[in-house]
Formats: sequence, structure tokens, C-alpha cells
Amino acid sequence: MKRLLFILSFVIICHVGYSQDILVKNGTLITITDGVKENTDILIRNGKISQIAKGIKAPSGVEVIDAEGMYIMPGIIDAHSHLGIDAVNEATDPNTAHVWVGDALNPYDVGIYRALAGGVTTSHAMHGSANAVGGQCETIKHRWGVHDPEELRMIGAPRTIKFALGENPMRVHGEGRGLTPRTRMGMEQVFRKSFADGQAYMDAWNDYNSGKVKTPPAYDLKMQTMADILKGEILIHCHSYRADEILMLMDVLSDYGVKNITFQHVNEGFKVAPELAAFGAHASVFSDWWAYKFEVYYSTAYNATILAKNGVVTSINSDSRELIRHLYHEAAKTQKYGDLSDNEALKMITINPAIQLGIDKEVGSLEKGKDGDLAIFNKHPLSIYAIPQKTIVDGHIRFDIDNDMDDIRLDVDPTETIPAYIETQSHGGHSCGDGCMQGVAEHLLHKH
Amino acid sequence: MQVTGNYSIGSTIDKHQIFKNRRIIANISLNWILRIFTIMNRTIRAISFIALFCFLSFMGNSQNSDEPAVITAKFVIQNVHIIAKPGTPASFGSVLIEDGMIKQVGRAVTIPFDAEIIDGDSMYVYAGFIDALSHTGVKKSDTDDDRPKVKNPGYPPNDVAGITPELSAFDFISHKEKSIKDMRGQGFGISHVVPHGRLFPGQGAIILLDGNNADEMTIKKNTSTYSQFKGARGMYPQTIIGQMAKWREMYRSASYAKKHNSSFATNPVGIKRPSYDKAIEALIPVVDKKQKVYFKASKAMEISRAMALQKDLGFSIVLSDVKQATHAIKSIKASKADILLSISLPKEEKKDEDKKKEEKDKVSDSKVIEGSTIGAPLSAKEVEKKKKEHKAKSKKEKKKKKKKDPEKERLEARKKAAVAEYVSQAAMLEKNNIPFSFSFIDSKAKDLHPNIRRMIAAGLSEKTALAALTTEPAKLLGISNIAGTIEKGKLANIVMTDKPYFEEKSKINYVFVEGTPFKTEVKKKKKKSEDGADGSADIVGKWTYEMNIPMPDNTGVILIEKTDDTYKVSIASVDDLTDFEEIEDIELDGNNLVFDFDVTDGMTMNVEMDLNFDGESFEGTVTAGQFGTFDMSGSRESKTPKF
Repeated sequence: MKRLLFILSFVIICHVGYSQDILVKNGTLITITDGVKENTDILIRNGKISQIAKGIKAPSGVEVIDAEGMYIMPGIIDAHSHLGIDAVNEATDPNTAHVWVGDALNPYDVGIYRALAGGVTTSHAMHGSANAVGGQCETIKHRWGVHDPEELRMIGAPRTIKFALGENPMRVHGEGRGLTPRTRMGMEQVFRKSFADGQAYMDAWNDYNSGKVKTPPAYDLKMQTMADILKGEILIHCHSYRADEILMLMDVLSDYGVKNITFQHVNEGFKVAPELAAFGAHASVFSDWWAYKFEVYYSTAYNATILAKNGVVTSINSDSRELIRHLYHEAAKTQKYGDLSDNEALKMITINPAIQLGIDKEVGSLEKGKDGDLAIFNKHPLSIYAIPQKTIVDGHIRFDIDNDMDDIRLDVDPTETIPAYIETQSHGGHSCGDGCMQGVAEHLLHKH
Repeated sequence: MQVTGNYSIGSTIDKHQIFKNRRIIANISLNWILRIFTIMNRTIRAISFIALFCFLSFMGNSQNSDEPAVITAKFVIQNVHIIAKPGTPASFGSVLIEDGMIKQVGRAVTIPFDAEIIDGDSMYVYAGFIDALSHTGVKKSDTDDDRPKVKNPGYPPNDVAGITPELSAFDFISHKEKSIKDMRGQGFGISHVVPHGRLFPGQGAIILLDGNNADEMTIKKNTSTYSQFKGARGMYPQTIIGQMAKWREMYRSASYAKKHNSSFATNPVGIKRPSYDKAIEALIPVVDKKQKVYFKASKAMEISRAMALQKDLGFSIVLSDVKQATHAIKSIKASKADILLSISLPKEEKKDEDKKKEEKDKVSDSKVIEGSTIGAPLSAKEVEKKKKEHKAKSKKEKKKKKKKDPEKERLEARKKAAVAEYVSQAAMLEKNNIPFSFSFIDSKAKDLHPNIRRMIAAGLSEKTALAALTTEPAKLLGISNIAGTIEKGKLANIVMTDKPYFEEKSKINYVFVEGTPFKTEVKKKKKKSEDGADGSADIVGKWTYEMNIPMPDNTGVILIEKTDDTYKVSIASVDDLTDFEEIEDIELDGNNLVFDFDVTDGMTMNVEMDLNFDGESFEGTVTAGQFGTFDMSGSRESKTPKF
């Protein structure tokens, strides 16, 4: 009977009615954009924040959470992760602008639930860094429990694409296959050629569409994507370490009139912070992680602070299935090293990544009209004793520490061997350098 | 119930006979083949390989000439229960078959003087089954298992990267493929077959499962396009994201090519001549919706992705080999996509009660042995040993039972629920009024009967089950006017069973394909008492085998050991009894043991053995790479698997 009960309880959890109304009462609201409000209520209707005030009366049928003594912040946003996707690297060419990880969404990835357990409600599922121009990425909401991959997408989030500088593309394509780029000089040429080809492609289609030319150009999804970047329709997120290369890419972008870029990792960003600010480039960094390979030997835990103080919109990311569970700790490190204020530190994991992903109108702070995404903590989220209690996405509780089952999987392989305690692939930790290089081992082994 | 011997060419025994009658003159054995390769240099090796291959093909041809021509044959199946189509009650009567067609059906059938009469008293006849999608009779291309090298993996040639929509299954059909016989043995008369390959393997053909060559077998060719999420190796499109991008690119390129072609055809002045690209041209019928895309989408995510492409591009889709559609029902219904359910199902875990029962059975078995009622009497020592073994075993079992692991139990319960979900897919589709047929892309023909029974046990109605094997695939493939029911004027594709088909013990006696009868050999029942309590045969021991590859037959030794639930097989030829191939983790299915291994000696050849054990002997087949499939038999020398 126990078994039956277990199965039933699971079925019930999976099919809970999809309520998007909730009232959280008496908590300390960390709004990010409008200060801290003690003993205040926040009401979410139809998935959106509808009211922030003291003493809100619960409308009938709306679930009420008493959050007295608790801290409520906007759902945490990770601008760099690889959760919820079945493929990270299509490492077959230095330019794979045509591929899109949004095609490989997988709502059954348990990593999504683990991120929720750390208060993270939105993440940027990125292509890897094997290629100079990588694939297009997808901004996802952590709606754990849905089965349709379409329901993971954050509708309305702008298109983004992964670029990568330095050793990874040079190793995969240059060393591995004897193709360009073999050197950092070659890297620049890959970008220049990609943009030039994209420009030519766009021109050719304009000529055809305007009737100037009768022959349609050959359809090319890769070039089409380059053209969309040139048109400003896609935000660039570029894996980067060294200052010289960061300057190089900004030069290239200036030449082609491309403005929207967030540098990811950007461990030497502190060296070129004023230049980044002048360009309007953003930075998404690790709190205190470097020296995992040669090009990233030179960095500092003050990187985030220096960048922020120079006026660069800066976020702290995880790029890891483990770090994403405690991004609030990572943000707190900026206080130890850079002495940032609570709000400055928390902006690094809320509104700043939202700006970098172009979703700051929808998420990233507690404001009326924004998505009902909340992370509820027992202590102040920057305290080392803080433990996430509930995580709400679009007004729906997706993680609840009081109802946290051992086996949360949504999809069970009927042919699995039991015991299945250990996941087949280890994604966590920092040991392999970066999560960005998933799926490229094969290319390193097979040098042709 | 006797049909002229000539006609019963469906069984292994008969094939055996044909081999013997023909007095083969060559001397080739597996090991001989391999030895030649080691001795000779590369050139000679290649020549001998080709020569060998030609020789084998020649033999194949000579076999054809033995087969009878049955074009004008007439048959009357008398006094049978006729299930003309799904949902109709069985009616008692006869069926007259003439010229490959059903001439008359009913109570008053006129019997021509020259008709062969099959007395079907108390038997059941159904329309021949139609397999909606498989690789039946389709050879794998030789290069499929290579790892091709390309200079620039970002821009590989289409044919190297598995983008070959221009290929036609028709060109890969071989009437000698074992799969044809296997499918026919399970009641199929027609298959919709597609090539093996990667993302775009090629186009499908609808074939009859009888004939001497592809021409004779084919009903229609290039009827469909087949696609699956299977990436290229080491080149674009490698991962799922690459495959999705390539799909969009190919489809959109085909749409543009179509426009370009037509504007050039209307008025070429000033328009660049469209360049010809065979892969892109092959997809124009898909763009025109003249061909449906049979998209292999077994698991939930594959279904979502195939549907996403369909939604994005707008082609006609047949979701194929589906195994996990539970959460996609709504979108499938909304999109009106056709759906083919895979006949393969995950294995059922045995219930605790069953296990207990087995334990009891084992005890009673050993009691029988004690009393030596079966086989040679055991010595007192042996009896004592058995008793001890049994005691030790049951002690172990008890220990195991004591250690309950709640986490493991929960995991097992979830796995069991997952199995149940897969088994109930058919019933769920039926409940949602979604018509479906069955596909056999990664299933074995023999899975059909047991698995369809499991689906029925999980709530599927027999009517819908039969429709999924007959009328539904006929409708989907556009051949309803010639197949799918037992009606006057249709192809004489008929299945005859001794009991109603969906009953557990029901056996197929005859399968007619376009009027040609194939008698199914009913294998001798194995003696229960000698088998394990779970129904699987006792196969442990030292066996000798004989492979009926052309003269002289290759013989050797097979050692079979059992470890827990799986078996380890060690096999060596008499030519070199020091060189054992060892294959582990083999599962025994009843009395059927299937395993394969690679023999490498300059070249690599995959050898697959499919053996049916019956007490102290076994019969089966061995498939040696491209050389073909041969009969194989053997007997047990001792119960100790030691050499």
C-alpha cells in the first residue's frame, strides 16, 4: 500500500491545479528598485504582481502564505547556465549561429528543480563556448513540473547568442582540426568574416525582395542569423577572459554597428572597466573563481565591484548546476571583497542579469505589473544562515522546503537499472574548467 | 490441412532441406574466411572478398529458381471463422483465393476443380497485417558503420552527413533479408519500409512480403519521407540542435528552390539557372504535401521537437515509433498529426508474489529430481549436493529479504509505474479517439503478439488493436482499396490462426501474401520439467554446434554459464579451440537466446546468433555480417560449462 500511496502522491503533485494567485503576508520585502519594506504584503494575481502594501486582504480563493519573519526577494536570475537543455555544443564549425538551444529544451532536467531550491526562477540556457560564434541561447523560466518544453520558454525574452573568445574555439577548431582560428588573430578574423558574410547575405536578400535582382539568394540559416545580429535583433553574450580580446571584439562590433553585448566570465574585465562602460557593454562574472586554465590566471575577487563602480551593469552567474543553487552566497562575496551595499550585491543576481537578458521590464525586482517570481528566505538572503523556503514562479509555488520529495523526477526511464542513485553524468563542480565545454570532448580526442 | 510441400517455404527446416538438396560445392566456413584474410595481402584479400561475395549471391540466385511460381494458384480456405474487418463478429464460411486476389467470401463459395483445399475447421482468418513503418527487407548500406572523415566538419557533403532524402528504400530491398520471413511469420503481408540512415535516410516504399526481387515486391515506391533525430558523427549536424537547424534549413531551401524553379520555368530571362541539388529537390514533394514525413519520435522530447518543426514549417507529419505520448496528447489532437505506436514495450518487472511462487516451484522441482522420475537417476551424492545447494540458496534469499531498502523500493515503484505508463499508451490513444497504427523500427517481429496482449490487458480494445494492424495502416498508406480487410476483389493477404488471434495461446498457421500461402511451423513444445521455473529454458552447459554454412559445415563448442539473470557465452570453432569469443550479459527470453559479437581479423565482421533451445538441442540462425544468414544447430555435451 505504501507504494501505491507513493505513486498516487506523485501523480497528485504533478497534476496540481495551475493556480497563479497567491498572497504572501507580513514578510520583509527586498524590492531591489524601491528599497526594503518591512512587514509588507505582496499579492500576485494571474501570475503578475498586482499589489504591494501593508494589510492586503486576501481575495477569495487566493492562497495565503504567512511570511512573518521571512525575507522575500525577487526570483534570482542567472545570466549564464546550461540547465534544461539536451545539447550545449554543436562543436562542428567555428560559426554555428544557425543552431539554437531553444530547440533542445528539456523540462525533465532535475537541475531546474535544484536551481529553484536556491531561489533561482529564471536562467539563461546558453550554447557552449566551443565555437567563436556559438549557437543561439534561450531564456527559461523554472516552471518545474511542466512536460511541454514550450512552457519553459520565457515568452517575450529577446533572442540571444553565444560568442566565445580565446582558448576554447582555438583548441577545438585550430588545434583540433587545423582550421581558423588557431590564434587570437584568427579569432578576430572569424568574427569579421562572419559579420561581413552576414552583411552581404542581408544585402543580397534586400536586392531580391526589392525586385532589383530576379534570382533569389541561396537560403542560409547561419547567415540569416548573422544578419539578425547586425539588425540588432539578437543580444550577444560572449565568453571572454583576456582584456586584449575584449577590446578586440568591441572594435569589431563598432565596425559593424552592433551595440548589444554582455561579456561573460570577463575575468580581466577590471582592467578595461572604463572601456566597457563607455561601449555600453555589460559584464557577467564569477564571484571568486579563476586560474582554472592559462588564459584565466589573472583575475580578482574584486572584479564585480570594480566593474560595478565603473558603471558597468554587472551580474554574478553560475555556469554550474551546483553554484546556481547558492547564487545568493556568490552575491554576498561582493560584500566581503568589495564592500558593496546589500542592494548593490543583490542587484547582481536580480535586476542586473535581467537587464543583460533584456527582460528587466518583466522580472528582476518586486514591482507592480512584473512577473510574480519570488524567492522566500528564512533569513536575509545575504546571510550565511539563509535557507530558501519557497520559490514562486508566475504566482505558482514550484519549490517548497516543507514538501521537498527525495525523488522529484518527472520522467522515469522504464528500462533503468535500479539502484539509480548516481546520475550518469556529473555536471556540478568546477573541476572541468567550465560548463561551456560540454559535449566537445569528442572533438578533442579525434584530431583529423 | 496439407498443402503441397512446395508451398511451405516459410520454415527453417525447409530451407535446411533446400540446402542439402542442392549439394553445395564450395568450402567456406566463418573461420576459413577469416583465416584467408590474415594470410593474404590486402589486394588479394579484397579480391577474395568480392569473389566470395559474388559466389554467395550466385547461390542465392540458384535458390530462387527452386521457388515455385504460384501466380495462378487457387485456394479455398474452408469452414473458417472469418473476421472480415475490425469490429465485425466472426462469420462462418469459406474464402476463395484466385490470382492473388480474394475471389469469393462467405457461406456459398463455389470451389473450382483445380483449387487446393485447406480445411480450416474451427480456425480463424483475418486480413493480412500491415506494418506501418519498419526496415523490413531493407539492407543497411555498407558505409553506415564507418566513421567518415571530412576536411571541414562544419560543411560536410550531404551524403556523408546522413542528409540523403533522395535515397529510396526500393533500391535497398533484398528479398533474402531474414526480416521479411520474420514479419511474415507474425502475420504481415505488407510493410511500409524506409531506408536505414541518419537525419534524412530517404524515401519509403510499400512492399509485399513475398517476391523474388524488389520489383515483384513493390506496391508503390517513394511514397513518403523518413526522418529521425540521429546526428552525423563528428560533423554537422551532430547534436540535436544541429539536427533541428539542418531540418529547417533543408525545408526552407526546398521551398525557395521550388519558387526559383517555377519562376525560371515560366520565364528564364534574367534569372540565374537554378542549380540542381538532389537532396533539396527530393524534399520538394514534402513542401508540396505530396509526401508525408514519417518522423521517428519515440520519447516525449522527440515528439515535442518533431511537432515543433511541423508547427514551424507546416509539412504533413506522421509521428512514428512513438513510445511516450502521455503528455503530448493535447497537441497531437490539435495538430491532427498521424501517429504510429511502437510495438516495443519496456520489460515488465516480476511481481513479488510471482517470485515467491517461483521459489515454491523450484522446491517442488527439486523434489521431483529427488524422486528421479525424470531423466537419468541421480546418485545419492548428487541428490545430497542438490539439497545442500538448495538450502544455501534459500538462506541467501532469506537474507536478501530481510534487508529492505526503502529508497530502492520507491525507485522500483516509480520504475514500475513508468513501465505501466508505456504499456497503456495504446489504450490512452484509443480513449482520446486518436487513431493509430503500429511501427516496427526498433522492435522485433516476435514482440508483436505478447506486446499487443499487454496493451490489451492495459485497456486497449481488440477492435482497435486489430484496426491498428489492418485498416488503419491501410488508410494511412493509401491502400485501403486493396488491403486491410477480407473482401472480394482485394489482395489475398490473409492470416489464419488456430484460436482467436488475441488469445494467449493463439498460433498462426498460415499467412497468405497475394495468394501465396506460407505455412508456419509450430515448434515442438519444450518439456516444462527441464526448464527453469520462470519459463526460461535450462541452457547452461557445454554444447557443440554445427553451422550450415556451405560445405563443410563449421562445427565448434559453445559454453553457456549463468550469472544471476544473465548468461555468458563462450564460443570457439574446432579449427582453433584456444580462441574463445566471450559474450556477457545476455538475456534469455523463454528458450530464445540472441547475442552478437564482432570478429576482427584485418576486417571486422559482426556475427549475430539467434538460438532456440529445446531440451538437449538447439536450432537457430547465424548472421555473419554481409555474408548472409545461415542455419545453425547444436546439442548439449554436458551440463558443466567447462572445456
